[in-house]
Amino acid sequence: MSQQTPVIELKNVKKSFGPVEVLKDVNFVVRAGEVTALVGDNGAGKSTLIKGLAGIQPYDAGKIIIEGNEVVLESPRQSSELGIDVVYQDLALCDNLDIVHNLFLGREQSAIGVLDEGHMETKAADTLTSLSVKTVKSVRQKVAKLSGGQRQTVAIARAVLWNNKVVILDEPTAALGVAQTEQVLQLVRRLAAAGKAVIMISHNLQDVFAVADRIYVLYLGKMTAAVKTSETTQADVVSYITGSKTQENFGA
Amino acid sequence: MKIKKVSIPQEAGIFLVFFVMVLIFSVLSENFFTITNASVLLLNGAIIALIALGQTFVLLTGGIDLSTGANVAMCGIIATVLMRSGLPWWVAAIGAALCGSFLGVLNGLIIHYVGIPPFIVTFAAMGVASSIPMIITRAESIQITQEKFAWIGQGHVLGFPVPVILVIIAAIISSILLKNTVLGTHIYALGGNKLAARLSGINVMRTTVFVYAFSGFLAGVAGVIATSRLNVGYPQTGTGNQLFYSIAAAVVGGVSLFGGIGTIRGAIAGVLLISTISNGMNVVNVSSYWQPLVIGLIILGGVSIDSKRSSKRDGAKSKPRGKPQILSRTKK
Repeated sequence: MSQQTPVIELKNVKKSFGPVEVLKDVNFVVRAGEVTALVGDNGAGKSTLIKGLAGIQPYDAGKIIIEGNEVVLESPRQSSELGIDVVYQDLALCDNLDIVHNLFLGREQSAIGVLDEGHMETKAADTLTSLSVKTVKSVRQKVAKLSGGQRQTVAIARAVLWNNKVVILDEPTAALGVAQTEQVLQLVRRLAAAGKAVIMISHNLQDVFAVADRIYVLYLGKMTAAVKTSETTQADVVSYITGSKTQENFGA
Repeated sequence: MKIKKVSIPQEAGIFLVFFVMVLIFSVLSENFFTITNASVLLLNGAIIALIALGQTFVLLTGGIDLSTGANVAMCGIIATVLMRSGLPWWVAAIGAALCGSFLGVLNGLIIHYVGIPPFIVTFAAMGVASSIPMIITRAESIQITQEKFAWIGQGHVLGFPVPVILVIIAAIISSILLKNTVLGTHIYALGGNKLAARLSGINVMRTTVFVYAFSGFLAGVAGVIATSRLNVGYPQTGTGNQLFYSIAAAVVGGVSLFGGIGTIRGAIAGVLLISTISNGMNVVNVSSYWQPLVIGLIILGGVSIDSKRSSKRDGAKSKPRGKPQILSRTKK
């Protein structure tokens, strides 16, 4: 695993808002087939780190290396084209559109501007099936009619539909009940098993320990720990998050 | 594969009310259910229908276009002036409609780039566009120099009045645009969740400019038709109740002022209903002073149902869609 070129490698990434340094020389490595958890307290810089990868808020300095090539990410479109997609916490779905239109939003299949509904519908259904989603009755349902877990599933399926290399999940289980959380976590595992690099931002350490292969901890804009889940404990991670402890020899 | 559910019940309701109104007016006056009156109704309805179609596009994105009535007046005078300058009547007509869409483009660009609410931008545009024809004509009517221009408002093709045919064409094009094209999906998406639309890589600027340009274009066509029917360039054509009636028609037809919901079929049903009520009141000799009052109450009823519906929609979900920004805008 470690011999393989990482899908994403961030080197000394910086970002400031006016005088406030939100990211200070952050290094971050994401590998294919793994779930990489990104944890940290509120204001630690998790969202800023992700927004840079999504192309919404470019970094001020530092290198972004995607599969060995240095790239520039300055718009969401550039990120999508490189196979990076973000599933947002506030679920960027349109309630008034059906599942098919949401899955294809911004990337509709069409000929001279006319929608190819049949093709989109088939592909949408196939994608949901491939994710073993059975709870959605019809892909023509309006998203407004779906439950929280189903909405999260649609949001994740959106990222999968395009054969993305990287799927970034921002608090995927924050608004969900127990059973739905379990469903979504299983889905996250399946994404990694399918060879995708999954980045999961979460506050819920239980969820993190349930699915993540590696855990990165941000503390006040600095990466203070990068550990394998199998080699650490929840208590350790909590101390990294609160800043009472820093991983030995970290930052080399 | 399941067939997409169509929101039949709601639109069926409007058509039902429409037929009831037709029935009531027919009983009240024997002059109502006649071919002559039907053609008067349709011709008057044509202007409102065109503006309402454009307005539907704007409302679907969550905006509103208050400049359409004034745009009708402006484009009517522009057509007259272009003809006086020696251009053939049909060139003048197309030129006027393009001027209408130009005003829409300006609306859209300002709304997108300056970030002012659509209500304010189009409110200001209303002032500008209603002033221009007054300045050009010094508030006097101007003669139309080409007789053939009258064909647009008064001519017939295969027995159908030209304005009605233009409305049918506009309605078909609108319906296809909204239902079957990428652009249509993006228009709905913008009204449904603007942030999601932007994050999905939708070109928000292009979509916004398009809906206002489309609304302006149809207002321009309406101005040409209205002027052609009067056969004189009158600088206040369309600045009366047209804007008011067209928004009423769209809202009654189920187009949500909150954005993202509504169909062309619904808007057309709304136009039929509003035109019928307006025409029916004329036929049974209700004083014209009463008409805006009645239409006003109808708007209120339509919006009440709409906001009930959308609060029910929100109640079921965790995410509130925020305060309806537009409600305060409708009291024009």
